[in-house]
Amino acid sequence: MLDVRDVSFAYGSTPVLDGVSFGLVPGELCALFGPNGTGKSTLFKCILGHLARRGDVSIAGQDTARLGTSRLARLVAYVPQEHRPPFPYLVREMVLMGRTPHLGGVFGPSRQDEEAAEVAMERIGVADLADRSYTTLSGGQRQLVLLARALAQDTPLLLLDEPTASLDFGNQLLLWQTVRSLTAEGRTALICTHDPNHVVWFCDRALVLGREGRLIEDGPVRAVVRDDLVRTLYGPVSEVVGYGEDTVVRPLARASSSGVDPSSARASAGHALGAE
Amino acid sequence: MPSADVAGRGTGRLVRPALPRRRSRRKVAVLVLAGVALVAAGLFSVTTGAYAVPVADVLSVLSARLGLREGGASVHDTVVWDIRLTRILIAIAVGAALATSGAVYQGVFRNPLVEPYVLGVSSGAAFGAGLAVLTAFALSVQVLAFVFGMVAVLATYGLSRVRGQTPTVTIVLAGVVIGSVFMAGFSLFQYLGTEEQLRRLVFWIMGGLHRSTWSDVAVVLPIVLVGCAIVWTYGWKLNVLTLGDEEASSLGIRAERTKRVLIVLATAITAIAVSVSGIIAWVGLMVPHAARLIIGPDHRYLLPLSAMLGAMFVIVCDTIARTITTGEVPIGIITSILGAPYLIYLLRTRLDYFSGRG
Repeated sequence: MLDVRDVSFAYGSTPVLDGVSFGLVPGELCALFGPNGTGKSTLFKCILGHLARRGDVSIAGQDTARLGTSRLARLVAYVPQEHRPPFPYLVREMVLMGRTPHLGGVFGPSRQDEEAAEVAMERIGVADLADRSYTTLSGGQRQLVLLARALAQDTPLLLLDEPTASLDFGNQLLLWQTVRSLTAEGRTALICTHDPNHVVWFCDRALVLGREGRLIEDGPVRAVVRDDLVRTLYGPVSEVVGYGEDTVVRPLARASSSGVDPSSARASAGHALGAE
Repeated sequence: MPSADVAGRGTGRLVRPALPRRRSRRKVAVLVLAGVALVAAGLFSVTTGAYAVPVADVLSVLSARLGLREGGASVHDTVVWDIRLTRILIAIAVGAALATSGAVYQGVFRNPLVEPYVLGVSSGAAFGAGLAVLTAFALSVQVLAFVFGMVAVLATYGLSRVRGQTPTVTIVLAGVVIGSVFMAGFSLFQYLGTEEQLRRLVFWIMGGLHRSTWSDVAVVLPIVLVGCAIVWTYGWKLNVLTLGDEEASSLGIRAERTKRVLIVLATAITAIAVSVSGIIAWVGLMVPHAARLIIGPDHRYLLPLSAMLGAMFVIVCDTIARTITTGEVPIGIITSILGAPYLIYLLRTRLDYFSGRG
């Protein structure tokens, strides 16, 4: 579905991504995680064609470099982190914007597009907010509206950039479950996230970007989220333990009882990764 | 219930929101109403002035002129057809152009406080007009004002492009720089000009519609109306553009290209309007705000409403300008006097609106 081959990118002389290659199959829910500043957002921008990259990206068998903006937007939808646009659009207008790549006429969306937006809002559970102004919603509500917009865009591939960052715990789980149900229908999703537990609970597969923008892990989540990997990424602050059938990443026993000094833990994490 | 605050899920399902069709019908009704009000403002203006003409006489002059009725030259005919109607039609063109381009600039630059002159269009056009006045250039003030308005916007746009993008901050700064360069040139013209030339320059910079002729109308009105119509077809794309370049592009809009088309169109209609009216302040900033409060930020409706409200506002201001004293007050003074309090009111009562919390 998504095929990324040998993608590299540098801001000026600072390399951000170095030879990243991976492929996603239809219906896969794949996490992209790693510490801050390892190029996760940059990789998204390279896939979406916002940055001039080296290497090839193809979606559904089509080379994205040869696709026009609107044809690309019919293949991949991007869910940005929630933000506040300068004008107070209604939620229904915001979701309707997802129909833009499918529009044919001169004056914008047709009745069918409005119905598609309606269906997307129902599906994500924001239909009741349709006539509220997007700018007056809470961060969590705005994030769900953006997900509804991506659904209205009706693409086989979804890219989500830290979609749970501003959500409360309940809404985080709700969002993950919604994304799971979308991939269960055959859509493919690549999600950038910071929480290894979310990766374990909800994803099929995990990609880990490490220092200097290299892909250091790629595989089923149980195989990727290991004790040694978590320690390499974040330093000796947490451990991976079995909990019944599940795997849980939890903090190492509180600093006072285990003798780990949080400041030295940060320092050694910084050492392991190169200070950010 | 983790999702209780998200959407009131499970409780609100029974209450279906208003159907999209009904909502858009309401907005269309607002547009029709604005059109009716615009015609009414025009009729009022044509009857009002130093020489009052009753509505019935206005209609008889119009029907005679349009060939529906026999009629000859009369005082009414001259006042209505040659003096007032030209002013009103130019007022419509100028108001529609300034308000439409204001709405476009605010959308493209994602900044509700941007106005048509931010790109240095007015200063460029003033420079061109000054040059024409000083050198008695054969092709008239309008042509040079238009040419230098375009030169100014191209310079601003070129100066502010960084790696294929035009960030708002650089474009505003570039607009200030280009604008002050052209204003310096204009000041130089004022310094060099004769007393007669100086008088023309000053009146031009303060704005006025009193010299409107049918030949102005024939050039300006069609260009502005066609320009506004083309801009209107970009209404939906402009909605998407206000989300930012990257998001717009991920929604299938070629952001840079669309922005360029819109900026050139908006500048062209501004420059052509300014070239005939002189500088009229506030319309491009204030009218799109008022329209947004009435009909919301969807540019498919916002653009036509802005055009009509702008036309109406300029008609009213021009009517005041020519009736408030026995002489002629520059219209720029009237729009500023009416515009500043409105903006102060907006600023104090709708602070949330300016900070994007609408």
